[in-house]
Amino acid sequence: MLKLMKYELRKTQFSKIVIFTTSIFFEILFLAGIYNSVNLLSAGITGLICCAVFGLIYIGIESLIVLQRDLSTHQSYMLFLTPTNSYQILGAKVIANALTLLIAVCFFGALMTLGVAAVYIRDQGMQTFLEAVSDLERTIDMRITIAVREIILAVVTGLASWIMTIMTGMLAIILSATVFAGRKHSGFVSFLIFLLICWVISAIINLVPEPSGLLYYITDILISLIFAVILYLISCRIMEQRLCV
Amino acid sequence: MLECRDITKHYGSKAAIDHVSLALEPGHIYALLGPNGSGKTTLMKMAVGLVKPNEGGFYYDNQPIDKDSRKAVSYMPTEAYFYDWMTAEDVGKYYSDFFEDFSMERYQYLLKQMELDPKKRTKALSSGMTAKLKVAVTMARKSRVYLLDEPLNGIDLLARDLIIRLVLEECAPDTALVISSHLVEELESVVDTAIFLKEGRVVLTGDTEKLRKEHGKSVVDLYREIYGHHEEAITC
Repeated sequence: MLKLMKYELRKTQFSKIVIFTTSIFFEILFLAGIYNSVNLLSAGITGLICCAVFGLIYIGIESLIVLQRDLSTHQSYMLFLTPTNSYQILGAKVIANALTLLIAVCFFGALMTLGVAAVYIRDQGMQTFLEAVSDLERTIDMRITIAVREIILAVVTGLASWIMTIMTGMLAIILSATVFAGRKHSGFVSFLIFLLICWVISAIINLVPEPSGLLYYITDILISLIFAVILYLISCRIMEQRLCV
Repeated sequence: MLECRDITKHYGSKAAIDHVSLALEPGHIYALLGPNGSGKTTLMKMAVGLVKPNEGGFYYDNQPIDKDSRKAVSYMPTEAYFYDWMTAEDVGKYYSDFFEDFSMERYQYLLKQMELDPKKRTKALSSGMTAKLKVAVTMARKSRVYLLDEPLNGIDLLARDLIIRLVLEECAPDTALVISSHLVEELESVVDTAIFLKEGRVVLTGDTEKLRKEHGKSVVDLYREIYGHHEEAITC
């Protein structure tokens, strides 16, 4: 499965290079703008926000785009002629996508941290900044610890929910490819099936009472992962038994 | 080895393959013959799991085909299927990653023989060069079964001679080769068993030498007899 993941990451290499280099370009504009120019600063901020928002969305859905392309062209043979089964193929796609998204979140987080640090240094000076960094450990008290825990839980909840959404999209594409193989508008049909499955899942989730506090996050994560696993197993079964490429 | 048992595949109301049972024996080179739409490609695709049958199935060493059987069965599709972003070299690395029986040295030798540039992107290759690349990457595997779907299509005469030589080289007592082609004349001297498919059914099969003696015709003439439209006349 690692080999499959390697090639899944390779398939999306170009778009990642474009997103990351464009983001770095706007980061440079932002950093230059801190000291020199308001225009550069605002261009940098605008560019970074656009890159982060659209970049994360595109990276998130790119696995669906790749799967749609894989199943609707003869390039699918490259995957399905290998001595791997559908569980490995789909698993590699999901993990590669989640990994890419996590790397992208960390990348944009790092850019944001660099920007904040640059502004801090401009306003307070390098010495104050270095003192603040060395004091960081002492400044993490109970309130900040809880805030960090909430942030981590929110990120994990978001990631679990996104994995469920991606699995819903993959099932929709696989169903469409299985039933409407090679016919026109199969992409549009995939989208309709996706909406239908989302509606069904929402209806089931709404039956579960919503707890509060920490339990809210844990319940949300568990429900998302359970549905993701169910959707994954259904998708793989259809691919193994019915899908013709 | 590889066999199909009562296999059937429908596309809508049409039976592309209709209750076909065949068993490949090691040490033979098979010609899978038939006009367009007779079911040759569908049959080969079912052998490697690209297409799922409606009834029956393919078996490798008496087990239903699965990911493990693909380790021993090398299939060359008739279509171009390489990823656009790959070079010929990347294709070799891909096969090397997934197939233990793939030989990079043999692949590089075949690329040289076919006069293919390893650094050239697959999307920049002409149809003839793509056809050669498909053959190179398939025959660089040391498999037990080779399924070659129209390997001579779009290939120049010298490369065809090379491919036929490769086919003969790979034929060993423990391997089986199946070649589907419209170029029956070129295959007749190479194969020892012919399978004639018509409208999804096997209408004739057997050792080519025996078929020649029994019917008093070459395989090419048998092909014309089975698939020819005797009642049509072409007038100018």
